Formats: sequence, C-alpha cells, structure tokens
Amino acid sequence: MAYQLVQLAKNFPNVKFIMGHTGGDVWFDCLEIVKPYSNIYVEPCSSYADRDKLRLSIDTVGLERVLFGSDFTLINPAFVIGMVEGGNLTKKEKNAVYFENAIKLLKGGNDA
Amino acid sequence: MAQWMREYFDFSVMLGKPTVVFLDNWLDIDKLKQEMEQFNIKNSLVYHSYSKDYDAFFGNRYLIEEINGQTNLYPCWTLLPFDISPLNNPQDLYEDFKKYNIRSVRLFPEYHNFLLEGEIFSILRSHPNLRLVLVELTYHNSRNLFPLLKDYPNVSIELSGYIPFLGIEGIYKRFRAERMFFGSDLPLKSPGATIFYIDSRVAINDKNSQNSRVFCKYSSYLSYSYLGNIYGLSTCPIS
Repeated sequence: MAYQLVQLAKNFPNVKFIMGHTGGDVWFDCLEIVKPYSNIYVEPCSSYADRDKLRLSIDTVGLERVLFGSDFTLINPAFVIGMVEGGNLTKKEKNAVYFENAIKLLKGGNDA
Repeated sequence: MAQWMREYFDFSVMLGKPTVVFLDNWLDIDKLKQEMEQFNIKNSLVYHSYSKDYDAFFGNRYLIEEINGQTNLYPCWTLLPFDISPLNNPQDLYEDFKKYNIRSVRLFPEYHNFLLEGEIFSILRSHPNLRLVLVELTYHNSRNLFPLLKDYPNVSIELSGYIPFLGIEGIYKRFRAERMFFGSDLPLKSPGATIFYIDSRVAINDKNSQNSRVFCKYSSYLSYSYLGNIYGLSTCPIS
C-alpha cells in the first residue's frame, strides 16, 4: 500500500495525501518508504498503542507531516491522545500534532 | 511525568529480551523501573520473555532470580499443559507456587499451540473462586465478551487492547469496575494510551471514584488455585 501511495504522490505532486494509521502494522517500514515525499502526511492512530510510534514518526518524516487521528467512533479517542501524551513529545510537538499541522494542511499552507 | 497523577498497578508486563525484538523494545529491570516511574506505575505483574519464547520451566525460575529483591514487582509464571511440559508435575508446581509466592500464571494457548476452548468453561464453572483475566483483547471481541462476563462472574479483562468507544462505560455499567484491570502490555505498547483512556472515562463518568478500583495500587490482589492442568488467578490479598 505504501508503494502505491508513493506512486500517487509522485504522479500528483500538488495533491497532499494522508497515510491512515501510518500504514498499519508495518508502520515503521512505511515511514521510511514515504519519508522522501513531502506531500505524504502520516496519521498514527491505531488500536495497538505501539511504543515510540509518535516519536519515530516525527523523527523520520518531520514534525510538520504528522497529524492526529483517533479512528473515532470505532476507537476511543482518549486512547490515541494517550499515545501522544505518553510519547515523549515536547509541548511544541504536541501542539503541532494535535492541531496546528492539520490547520496548516487544510488551509493550504505548509506546501510541499 | 506530572500528568499521570494516579497510582497504577500494571497487570501486564513482559520482562526480558524476546526472541524477536522490534525497535529495541524490551525491558530489563532498570528500563522497567524507568517506565514505571514515568507513568506513575507503582507495582507491576511481570512474566518473563524466556518463559514464553524459550522454555516455561527455565523462564519461570529465571524470572524469580531477576526480580529478587524488587518488592514492587510480582511474578507471573507461564504454564503449559502437563502432558506437553513433563518437567512440571502438578505437585511439584504447587510446591513451587508456595515456595516462590506465585499468585498468578499466564497461558499462551495460541502461541504455544494448545487448545483451551471448551475446557476453560468447565473449569470456570467448577472453580468459581478462580479469577480468569483475559488479555490482548481488541474491539473485535465485544460481541462475545459481554455474554462471557455475564455468564462467568470470575472472568475479568485487562484493558490495554480493549479500547472501543464506550467500551469501559459499557462494562462498568453492566459489571462494575471489579471486572477490569489496568495493563500496559509493556514493552510492546505505550502505557500512556491505556492510562489516558481509563482516566478520561473516569473523569466523565464516575465522580465518586468507584472506577478507581480499575487501576489503583490494590487492584491486583491475586492468589492461585490448583486446577489439575491449568492454574489461574483468584482474589485474595497479597501478603
């Protein structure tokens, strides 16, 4: 799936893509695959609270490309918030993930 | 970390290096202590990776050596059916339980390739003081979980994987807090996720703090019961 997304990102460089769940179970590999493509964002929600998922997402693709998603109403949003809160992120990083990155993305800023 | 104000008893922790390590996620005693301090976890029930991945008999004893002197860590042994684990005969195991103060055991029927379905129901019926705690649940389990909790008062759940929207509320309304345990599933999962999930539900639903029994430091009063070829948990204060 990650390679298909990369192909889309290459073909449509002006379109921004969000990789839901950061690719799922293979999220670590997916981070590396999408890393070079600045029009691919990652959203780390999961029913499995992988340790270090937030930290590694930020460190791999950059803070501005990590978005918050909860998978609500399937999953309780507090669970994913707890992943962020317990993820050894700075206050600035949390603000960006929780809110600011999405605002920039949806308002058209933060161009790739 | 200041935001984790409540004290927790972590019901599900694996100590030691597993056969397959992902992102260096494994815990020795020092790393576990750091995690517990960060998340205000005061006590943990731990099993050893060697007992799961290598050999239950060896790993169980290795666990006792590893946590020797750690008063906030409680051992959880891994058991196999006796017919595939001949080194553990029932009487010897029972004596070891007493000797090492083992009050809980963990079974990995899928990972260790033995069947538990069917037999477990008759055991639960015939041993009402046995406390069975289901771990590694997911939201997929809801449809079967609620009838199970209704029919078997001695069944409880550990919450690290059971995270559906309104999941805790649903169980709390029907079965109360006594049927839920906080577990992090360290080192694989982040404790913060389950802690924040539980705490947020408490803040919304339970101002009288009845639900605090889910995760307070006394939540895991465990004892053991001998059941022939399966050991389990039963409620009894830890001495």
